[in-house]
Amino acid sequence: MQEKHPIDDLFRAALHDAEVSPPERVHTALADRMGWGTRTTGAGTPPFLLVGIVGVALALVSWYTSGTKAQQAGVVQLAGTTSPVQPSTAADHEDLAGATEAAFGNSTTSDHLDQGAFSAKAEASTETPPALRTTTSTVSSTASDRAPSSVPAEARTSAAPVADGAHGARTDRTDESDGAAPSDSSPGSLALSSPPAVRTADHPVEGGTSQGTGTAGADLWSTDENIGQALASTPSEATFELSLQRLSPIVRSTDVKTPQPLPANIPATYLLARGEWWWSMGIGLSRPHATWSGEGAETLARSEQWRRGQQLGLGVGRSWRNGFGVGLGVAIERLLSDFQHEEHRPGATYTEVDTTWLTLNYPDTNVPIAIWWIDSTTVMGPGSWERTNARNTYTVLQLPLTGWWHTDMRRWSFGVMAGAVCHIPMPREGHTLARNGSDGTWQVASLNDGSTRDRFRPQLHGHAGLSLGYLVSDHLRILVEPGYSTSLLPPRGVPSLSLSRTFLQIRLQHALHCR
Amino acid sequence: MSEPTERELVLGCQNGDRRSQELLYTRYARRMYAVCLRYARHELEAQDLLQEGFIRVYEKLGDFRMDGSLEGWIRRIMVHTAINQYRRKAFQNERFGLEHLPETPVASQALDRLGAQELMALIARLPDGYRHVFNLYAIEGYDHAEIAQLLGCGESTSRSQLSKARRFLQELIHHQEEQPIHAGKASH
Repeated sequence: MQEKHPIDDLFRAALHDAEVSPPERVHTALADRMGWGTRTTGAGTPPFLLVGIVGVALALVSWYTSGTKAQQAGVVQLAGTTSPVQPSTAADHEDLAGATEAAFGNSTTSDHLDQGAFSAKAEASTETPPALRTTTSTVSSTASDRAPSSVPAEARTSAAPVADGAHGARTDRTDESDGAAPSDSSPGSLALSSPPAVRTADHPVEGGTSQGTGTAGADLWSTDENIGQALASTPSEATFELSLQRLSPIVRSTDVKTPQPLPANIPATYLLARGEWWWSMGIGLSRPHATWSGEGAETLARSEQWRRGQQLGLGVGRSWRNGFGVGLGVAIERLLSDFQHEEHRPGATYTEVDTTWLTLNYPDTNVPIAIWWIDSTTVMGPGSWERTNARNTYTVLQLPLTGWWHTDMRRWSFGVMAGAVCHIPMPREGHTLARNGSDGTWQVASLNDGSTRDRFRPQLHGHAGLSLGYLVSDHLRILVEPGYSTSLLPPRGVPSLSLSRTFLQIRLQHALHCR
Repeated sequence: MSEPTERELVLGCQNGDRRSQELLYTRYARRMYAVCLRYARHELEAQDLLQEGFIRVYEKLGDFRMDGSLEGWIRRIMVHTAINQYRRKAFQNERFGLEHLPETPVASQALDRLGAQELMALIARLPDGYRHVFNLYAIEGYDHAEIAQLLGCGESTSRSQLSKARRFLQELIHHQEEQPIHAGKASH
């Protein structure tokens, strides 16, 4: 098969960058859904605005004077008092007519068996209060007047059987649509020359598929079916009311059974994602620096050389589009240190006995005598130095609460972080020094000894640092975060340990939900 | 006040700035409406596609990394919105007896005389399946594998529908030569 065809180039060259001005109603509907606020209307609006205001006033008067009649039929009410947009522009009239056509088209072309229901609906429309009738008739006459003579006759004749009788709105819409479409486009812009009805009529192949305006109502019904279910009790009513809601934000529907109008500000179905929830897992390395306080701080500091810390943690949090984020986590940190203590052990005490024979003369005589001289001396041995070495392991449960701020540059993000961490000590292994209760000397004791337990209480630390991220995929970000952590409230009095750390943590952060 | 740059618009939209959202719409609505018109069956559906497409654009802008053309990105979203709409309605079972159409070459002078407006009207008259395949292949530049994935059909179906769409268009252009499309009568 020929992959390239001249006709492809022709269409591509002409249509790839073509521009067509969309109707104002699209902007109006988008503005309503997105909450863009009131839009300035065109120069030709004031007359229509005035007519609309007068019409609404008349409608309200008629409404209150024939209230019982209105409650028996479908009610469509202009909510000009609650909507910021005034319901009297030409586009609004087109919306109303177009919506009516969309709803009626759905009933008539998609299923011919629904003709009965459609007729019933049309009758209900004739029972609508003067507000609707007045507006619709105004649109009809205006639109009919504006219908250009160039509109193919087939278009109207094909629509006429569907739009006759009580379906006056459809007839009006068909003509109005043909005539109004070019007026929506800016000068020189494109406009389809064959409206839906024309397409259906002037090509027998398409005419058999019933793809014309009859599906427009189905589009509206399918895309807003959630609202429809909330607003209407039957599908046909829902379609009708939805179309009004969809195409004209100023027209609000009122349930037949409940005379109270719905709130003017129906929550928009769309909200721009303001942030994302995420979870993360990370590992970290730290270099601890210990600070002892209290009695014997110097001895204790000298006895232990801190080596490193290893950390493994999980966290959840939320980031916002403005770059700020907050997260809560849980982590286990394992701290390693080398304990070393040298203690002098005195030598044993013993008695040296020196014996000697002494020969002496008995006093004042020349008589010699011999004496066995025994001399005893208590001697203390030289003793020894005893060294205790241990590899201490501290396990700490951390509960960090951290805030971030990032700025993005393509896939990279740069930022800072700060927060607080609650350190909860867990069982330790190793040795430390403790005062001997009897003579007050320092002795080696186990880290889990009761006399040392008070040194390792829960502590509150603060940490701050930088945060460098790289977006690996749509949902996965890897973050490298160097920082510094120190105790915020170091304990006083008893010998106690407070650790400050320089750390480097690497986190994998996975976005959970963008909203 | 100067016009915001593309990047400023995107960042504004990502931060939920309504003015940026509106400016984004204003800047690209005309081109995107032309895209929607090529895929829709009629103007009402095109307007619906345009509205839904821009809603999606605002939703997805957080994922836009500014490493490509914003217009191209928005266009893809519009195309996907249209295709999703088409697939949801399951109009793929259309059958048109086009096999009898002759494989007649179109005279170049006939093509030259056709403007964008006429070409748009010709595309609007294509059956849905043909129109989508032709739009995707000839105008958007997708290949058959991508089209098959988008439309949920086979590559051979895509090729076949493209061929039939071309023949259909050729036939329409011949009729255009004989009778302008504005007359609204296609003699078959």
